[in-house]
Amino acid sequence: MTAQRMPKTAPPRTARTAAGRPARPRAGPGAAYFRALIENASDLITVVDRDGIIQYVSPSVERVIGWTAADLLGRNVFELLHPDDQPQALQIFQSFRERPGTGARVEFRVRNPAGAWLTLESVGNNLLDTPAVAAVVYNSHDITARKLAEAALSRESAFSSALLDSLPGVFYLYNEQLQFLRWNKNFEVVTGYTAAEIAGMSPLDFLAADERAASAERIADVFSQGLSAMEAHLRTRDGRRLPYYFTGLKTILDGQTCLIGVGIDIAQRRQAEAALRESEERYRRFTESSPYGILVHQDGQVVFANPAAAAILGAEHTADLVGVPIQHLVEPESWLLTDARQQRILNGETESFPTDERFRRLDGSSLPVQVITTPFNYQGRPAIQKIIQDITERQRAQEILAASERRLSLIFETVSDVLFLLAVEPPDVYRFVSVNATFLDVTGLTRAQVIGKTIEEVLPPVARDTARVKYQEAIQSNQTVRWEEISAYPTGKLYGEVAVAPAHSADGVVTHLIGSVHDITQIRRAEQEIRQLNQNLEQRVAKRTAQLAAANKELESFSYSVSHDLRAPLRAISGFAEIIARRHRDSLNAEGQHYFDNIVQASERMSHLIDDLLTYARLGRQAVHHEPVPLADVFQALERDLAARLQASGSTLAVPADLPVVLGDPTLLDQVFGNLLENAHTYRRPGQPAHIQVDWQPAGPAAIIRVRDDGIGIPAEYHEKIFNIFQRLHAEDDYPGTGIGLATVKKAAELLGGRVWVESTLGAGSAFCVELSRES
Amino acid sequence: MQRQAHILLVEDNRMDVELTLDAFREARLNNTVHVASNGQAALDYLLGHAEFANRAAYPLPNLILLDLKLPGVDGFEVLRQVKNTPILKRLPVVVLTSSKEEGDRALSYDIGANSYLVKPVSFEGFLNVVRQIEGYWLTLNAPPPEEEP
Repeated sequence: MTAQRMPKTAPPRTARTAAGRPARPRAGPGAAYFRALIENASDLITVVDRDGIIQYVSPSVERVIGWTAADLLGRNVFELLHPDDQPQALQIFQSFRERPGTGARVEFRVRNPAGAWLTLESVGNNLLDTPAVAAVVYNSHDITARKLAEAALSRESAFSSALLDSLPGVFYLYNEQLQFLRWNKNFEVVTGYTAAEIAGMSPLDFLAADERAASAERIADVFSQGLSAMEAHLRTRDGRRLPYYFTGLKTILDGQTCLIGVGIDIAQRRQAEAALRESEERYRRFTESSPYGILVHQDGQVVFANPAAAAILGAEHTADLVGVPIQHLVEPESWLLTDARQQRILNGETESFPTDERFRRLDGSSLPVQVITTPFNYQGRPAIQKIIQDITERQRAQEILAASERRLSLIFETVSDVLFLLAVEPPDVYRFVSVNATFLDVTGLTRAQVIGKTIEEVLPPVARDTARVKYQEAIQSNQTVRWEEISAYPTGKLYGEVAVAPAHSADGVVTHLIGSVHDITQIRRAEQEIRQLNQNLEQRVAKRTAQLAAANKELESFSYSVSHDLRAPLRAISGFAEIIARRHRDSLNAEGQHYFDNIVQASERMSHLIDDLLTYARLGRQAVHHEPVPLADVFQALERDLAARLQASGSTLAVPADLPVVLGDPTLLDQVFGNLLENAHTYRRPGQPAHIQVDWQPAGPAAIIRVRDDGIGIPAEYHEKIFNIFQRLHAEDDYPGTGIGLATVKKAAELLGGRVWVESTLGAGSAFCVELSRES
Repeated sequence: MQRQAHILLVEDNRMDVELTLDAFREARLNNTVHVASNGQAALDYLLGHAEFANRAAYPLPNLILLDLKLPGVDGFEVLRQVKNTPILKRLPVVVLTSSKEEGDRALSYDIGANSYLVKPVSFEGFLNVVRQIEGYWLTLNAPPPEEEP
């Protein structure tokens, strides 16, 4: 403490306590009384002369500082002091030594016998002019404990100030009258007001005007209830509004009711909150349009779900999922998997990978989903995000694929062709990856002898060289390559129709070759047999042809004979009969003449018969042509031949101008239509001219040509018979004819690939129809 | 001036020979008809072999009437040899046959027949044929030169 404050200091308590009240009522005390008083006083009385030499020291010296009076008497009092304290103590002593009746207070330290420093407070009185004393009297007491407490207090106070000043926020202490008692440096820095200004302001002055009423209530709450907090804006000197969080605690300080509290800048927190809200909004918007279901769950409950998740899990709204325990959405069979995954996530694992789980919809139905589970921070707390995808379709597709693969595998194994799969190892190594049962059957090898082996180790040397070339070709052309090989496998000779197709990876590199060998041993054998049969057949055909040729030749010579030999006697009969009739007619009677006429007539008829028969026999012995023949030409020629006879009988023939071009043989066509026209004219009604009409109509690729007459007609029962050879319906004398004409027509039409028939009613004319191929 | 023409009739059928000769007579044609009743005889006559060496009695004919169907050497063979023999090849050969076969006609012309006639059935027809032959081949037609050029 300082010397200036000395007058305020109350008289030493020790003296008062030690002396007590009984000292004052006593009257007239003598020297012995004072001596006793001094010697029993708790304070230490030290008397020094003007040079500071100790003249007297009260017995309490031993109690106060541990030394005995004997130790100290005669010693300079200042020498006993702590060297640091000596100059001041000496200076004070000297200052009042010259002015008797004055005194001074001084503090100093002395060492006790144990070597520890004690702090004493002494009040020195200059009694040098007092005759009975003539010395300076010091009255001292030990203040070591008090000094220690004061030092501690000082340290505490400094610490508090430092603490308050170092607070990140503002500190304030004010009383019920809203007068500031303390604030920290930061308060001044933040508000921009000086300490003096603050001292004259109300806490409400530092709050935004629109928040003052509410804030005043909060402050009142503190004084009435002891504790409150609020968020409000701190108004600065330059008019800024800073978001702050204020606390208030009622406290009694020096008998006054006060509010002590701090304010914390929450601008950053506000920004962080806004950022968080924005981030969450972005997340929400992002997930809104996501095709994947997204669920966030925290503490075992769904806290967020996007529309896709709602759709997958059968919820009408996303809100229907919020609050649902996640376990309700996962089928029990997947709990273990889900839990394990979640635990790993909560333990800090961040790597996410999809797992296939079964979820349960809100309606209780089950569905397979692929789940990606990731850690998530939801509203500042750890949560778990599940990205889910309905894989019902995918699973179905996989099942179908698996079934298809099983089937393919079954086909692969059971097909009767040899199948194999080779891995291509550039540049020129081919290794068996897989072969079917047929492969093993044919080669007589076991799977172990083939799989993983190169073609050199498996294929016979002859086959392998060709194979290598063909494999290269398949790889380079990227196309299936086929060839035939004859390989001698342990099971016998195999004619192989081999096909090898390249299989490539996504980047187009041929990684495998798929091969098949079709066993054509049977086919080859069959082909050989067919060849043999064909050869035999050819021989047989040649033989038959030769026989046929011989028969034909025979027939030809028969015809030849008929032509010559049959005619010769006929000619003789006819010729000589005629000669007789001419030269010897007169020597014959009427009957003889008539008979000779008969002979001549019969000879002529016989001659016609031979001609027709030969024509009929010739049909088909000659090559039949199939060339385009305009029917108009055929009819034109026939019309010319017939013209004279038509005219003689007064008959008519109408041929259309648009007759088609048919495929045929001119000679045969001539015979067909020549005979028909001839018949149409011949079989006219007795005494009537014939009216012959030709017409035609298309019938698909064919044409039907009709020769229609208005003659005697043919009874229905003869419509087929009349085409037989020698079939005649009338007497020779009524209607001359050989009975061969229509047979010739039928045979010729059939040789042309056509047909002929008749449409006729007895007495109402006939229509002979011929169907022939038209020129396309 | 009508020359005395010689005709060689190659015909095996006796009745046909008679009808032909009768027709020539009936038609009053002043020609000499020599008859060979088979192919070999015809060739012997034409080549002047054996009894036919006397060309005065058996002169080379101005026309050959040739039947095709003959016993032994047939008409085609006779025709072939005639056309292959230098001194005979220019003789006009008229095939006179019963055959209307296309094949016979074709072959006849192929090996050098100058004409092809089908024997008529009636005697009237025969008369007509011999008159036409006489008129065309022996009167109208200019004969080949007699000597080799």
